[in-house]
Amino acid sequence: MDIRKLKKGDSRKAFASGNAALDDFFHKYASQNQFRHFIGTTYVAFDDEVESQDILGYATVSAAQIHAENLPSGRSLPRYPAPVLRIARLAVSQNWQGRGVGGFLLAYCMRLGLEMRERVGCVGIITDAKPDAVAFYAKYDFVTLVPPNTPDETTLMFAWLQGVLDQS
Amino acid sequence: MSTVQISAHVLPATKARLDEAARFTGLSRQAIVEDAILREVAALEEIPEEFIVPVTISLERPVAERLLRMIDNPPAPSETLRKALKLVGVKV
Repeated sequence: MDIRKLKKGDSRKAFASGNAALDDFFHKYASQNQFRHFIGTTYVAFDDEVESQDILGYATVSAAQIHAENLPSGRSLPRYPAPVLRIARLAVSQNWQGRGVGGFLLAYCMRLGLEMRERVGCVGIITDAKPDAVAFYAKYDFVTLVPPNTPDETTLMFAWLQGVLDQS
Repeated sequence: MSTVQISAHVLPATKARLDEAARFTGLSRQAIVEDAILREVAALEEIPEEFIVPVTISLERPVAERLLRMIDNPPAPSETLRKALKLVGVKV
């Protein structure tokens, strides 16, 4: 298994994660995001042991910033806005779920966050986790920043980068 | 207006729907196919709102203050994260 950036010629139609919205995004808009609008980059995990390089999963990331609401006096909170790497989408092919592909992609996103921190600044990783994905992110040290108001809503989660680099 | 010919393999059911639509509307198959292509391409060029990820995340003041404290006090990475990071070439 290996990871690389999505290529224009990649065959995405066959990818099926079981989540219609995540599949629809990957089939129709991941390429637009990356090659036309430049608002997000998609990385794909692929099986490097077969020539077809079947796509096992994908993660779409973009640079983002966290803004803190000002005090009523108008005074802003120091150190904001803060740059972060946002994981916008992450999905694993149904045939490969439960085999470490998601963790592989997530770790790769953290590596991108570390590189972003070195090159342009980044305080951590942010994601809006769907209810059934919260446990997955928590397994990789993501913590809840803003809990959902209802069971169907996403949870805003954060992961550090400092703890990783300080020990490298 | 000059045209060019294209050929495409489609499911029999799709062809049947095209034929039915042509009979029902009186439009030519060419007009229906050309219109469908132009609509689909235009839709693909525009990213629907639900697929646009906002680049700014706004936090209420208490949450923003808590996040700063969190950033300043990173925990040691868990064993699960350490193993995953090693796989992508990050030393921990």
